[in-house]
Amino acid sequence: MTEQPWPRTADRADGPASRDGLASFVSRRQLLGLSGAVAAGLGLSPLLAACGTSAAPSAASGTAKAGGTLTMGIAAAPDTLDPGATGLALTLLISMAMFDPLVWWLPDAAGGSQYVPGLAESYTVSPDASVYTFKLRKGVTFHDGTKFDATAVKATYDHIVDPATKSKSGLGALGPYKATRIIDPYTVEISFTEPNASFLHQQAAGNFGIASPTALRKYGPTGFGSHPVGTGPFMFESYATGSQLNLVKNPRYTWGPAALSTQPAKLDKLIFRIVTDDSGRYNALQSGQLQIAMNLPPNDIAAAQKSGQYRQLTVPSIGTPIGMPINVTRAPTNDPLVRQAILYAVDQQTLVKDVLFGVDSPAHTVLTPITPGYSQASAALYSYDPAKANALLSQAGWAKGAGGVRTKNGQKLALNIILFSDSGFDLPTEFVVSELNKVGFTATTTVQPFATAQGSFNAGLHNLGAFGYYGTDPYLLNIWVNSDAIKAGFNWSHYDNPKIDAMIAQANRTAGATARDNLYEQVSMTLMKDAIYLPLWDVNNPFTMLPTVKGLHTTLNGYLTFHSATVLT
Amino acid sequence: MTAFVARRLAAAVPVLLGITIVAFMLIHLVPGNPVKVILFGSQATPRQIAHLTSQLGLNQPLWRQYADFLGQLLHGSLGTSYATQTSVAHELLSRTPGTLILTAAAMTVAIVVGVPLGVLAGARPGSALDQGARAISFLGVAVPYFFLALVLVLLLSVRLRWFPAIGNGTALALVLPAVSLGWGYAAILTRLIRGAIIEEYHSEYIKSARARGCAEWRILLRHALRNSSIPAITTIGLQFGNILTGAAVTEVIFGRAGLGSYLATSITSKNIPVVQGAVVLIGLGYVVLNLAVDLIVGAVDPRTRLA
Repeated sequence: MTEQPWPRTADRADGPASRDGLASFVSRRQLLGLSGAVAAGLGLSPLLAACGTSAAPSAASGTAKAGGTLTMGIAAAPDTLDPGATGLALTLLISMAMFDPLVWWLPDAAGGSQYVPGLAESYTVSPDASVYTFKLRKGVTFHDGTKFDATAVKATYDHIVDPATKSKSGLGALGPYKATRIIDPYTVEISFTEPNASFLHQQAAGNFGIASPTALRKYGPTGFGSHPVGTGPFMFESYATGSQLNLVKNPRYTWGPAALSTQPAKLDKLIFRIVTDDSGRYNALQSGQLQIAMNLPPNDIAAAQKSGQYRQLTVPSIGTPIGMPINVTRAPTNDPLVRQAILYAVDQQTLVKDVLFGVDSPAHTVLTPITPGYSQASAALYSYDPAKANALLSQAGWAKGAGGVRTKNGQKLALNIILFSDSGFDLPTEFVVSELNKVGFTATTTVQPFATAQGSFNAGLHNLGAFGYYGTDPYLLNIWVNSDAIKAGFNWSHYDNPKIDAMIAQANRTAGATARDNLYEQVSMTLMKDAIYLPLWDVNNPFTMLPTVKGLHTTLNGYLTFHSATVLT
Repeated sequence: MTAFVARRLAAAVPVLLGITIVAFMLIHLVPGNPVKVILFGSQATPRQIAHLTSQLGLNQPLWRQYADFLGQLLHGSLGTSYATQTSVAHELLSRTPGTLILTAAAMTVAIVVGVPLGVLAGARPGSALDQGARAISFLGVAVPYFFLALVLVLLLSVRLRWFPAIGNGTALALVLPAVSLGWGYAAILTRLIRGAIIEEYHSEYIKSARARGCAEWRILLRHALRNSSIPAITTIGLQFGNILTGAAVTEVIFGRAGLGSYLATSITSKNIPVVQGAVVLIGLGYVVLNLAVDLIVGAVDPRTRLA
């Protein structure tokens, strides 16, 4: 197959955004990435932008030599190698090299997305989107030699919902899961206690790669995370904790989707090298230890492009863009006019160009453009218009006072901004504050460790916070706007709107894609009208590589696949 | 001697207990729920959050959580990492060799560079050699190790490609981190030893050795250096904590998996079992190292030997 620039987007994962947690949490990109971190889902449409030298599809598979080792620098250590248990988006990048989903959801040539058979040859969905039936492919074997059939699918889903697995994103993404039933050795039925239209997107996102039932039994619910066995193009070889993960080619792999490669991988070996320091990854790329560096910070990407020695691949993210939740219960942002003024006052275009070196894209609504249910109309609500912001603030009773700061009843128009450390928000927030100052706000910014900041957000101590969420299905909005997520969850806008809660639930009961997208578009419109979120930028997951790396495909969740990757040495 | 070692090891128990209590209280004093860190981005519902909280025992009273931790510790277990669901002991031990190798290499750099420089400078105070040594040690103390590390990488890895920019398991990859981390300690050692040698040179026993016709190199190495090394050895022991801090940053810069960087990320993510386990391990290391220092000092200087 030739390499096609696909769109890819951010990944999903659910994961924390932070660095790693830890470590993960670490770098700014990571955060961004996660930060977003967050996660979840996969991407939608494929867009992918190839910058710099283009990621041309050219040489890819046809001409390049087979063999060799590709080493890619990643910013955080995986929390586990079990895609069903992980809470980190990054793990999905790795798991997609070792596991196959039942159905792939891939970018198509026209810039849209398509479902492509994976380990299932076909599937049917009940009209109420609560029962999914898959006809499985024959002749597939796991890395350990186990035959793939319906028992493997059941074992995988049983494993994810097993409390002993302590599944993070997978369990959350399954929602109202009921059971997996084997109908015959090659037919399996997955059912939900209530309609769950987001499932097809979710099962393709990486968490639900089918695992070897033999290995699950042998290593146990948590042990599998150190001994992953799937059916994918690469097999687990070794993992030096926190340092390096080695995968080797699966010579039997002939069941890949035509869009990626129906042949075994061309690389002999695929290595993920964990380098948490952003500039460390760029240094290692320059000094030859890495062929691909993931998530370099924008300034390094700009430098790499300027040098002309590297190819840059950026994959758009899917989910909620990076932005600031606006607390609707704390003064002065409890006034909708003040919130709208904030949205008019910030110029995302300039932010992306001047602060983010043009690597990411300006964001204007609660979902990124490749996410299903994206609402163009809601993105057009607030153009950059400081005059309008000033007018709204005056209308709300805030009069300009000394030093350009507005006051009302002797109170200053002051915002309390809380960020978490290493979130990648520091410089962008300075820009946002300078924009807000221009229209009469004053602001204090506090940076707290991630865990502390979460507590502050739940307690509502902030006017503006920091957020971002990867998810392949717009149902992710439920995570951060549902009224039951205010005290303990991720509703950091403290938005309590029963109508929106009901509308999102209704959308997830709707099997028809068009009707469902329509509902999500209405939800987005309401959220933006209520001005509960200041969207800042859509993350473009950046991969900076040597020009000798070819044959990569991007995925809808912001990652890459290595099915037909090659590297000249 | 054996009794002395046994007594010192026994004394480590209350020390370790003390630091676990302090570490436990500190990490719990920091606001924030580790469950939410774990579940951030995982489409977790509030019910899932509550469930995991009780599963991890985080809804228990603090004394109870601490007692559980101690109970585990007595059974030789450090618990399970929140982030990875694998045993904390495994997580820590798999990263310990990396940190030990780095600190040992840095210490080697410090000693190999710092001691000879200090001796030579102290033997001829005011000479050109002394001026040079003082300039080098001044720079070593003044330039932060992380800055030195970045400059070395830029120059020797990115530009000249002589050394790898990140660890790759080879000894060559250890050179830059060891030099950048060890240089500052080399500088401290140089100054300490230089000062001590100059002082010893004014001692009566040196004069008497000279009067006996003892060779100058023998006076320097056998007499002056031996007596000058006590403060240096003690300092090395006391610097262990600092070196570990430095190792954390150095590990991050050079992409090395180690204890320090792991502890740092675990603190920010409130991975309580890992923080506890690392505190115990590092505390134990500190106690053992200080004991070793006492024993070495005793060997070098019989006057300090304990009965």
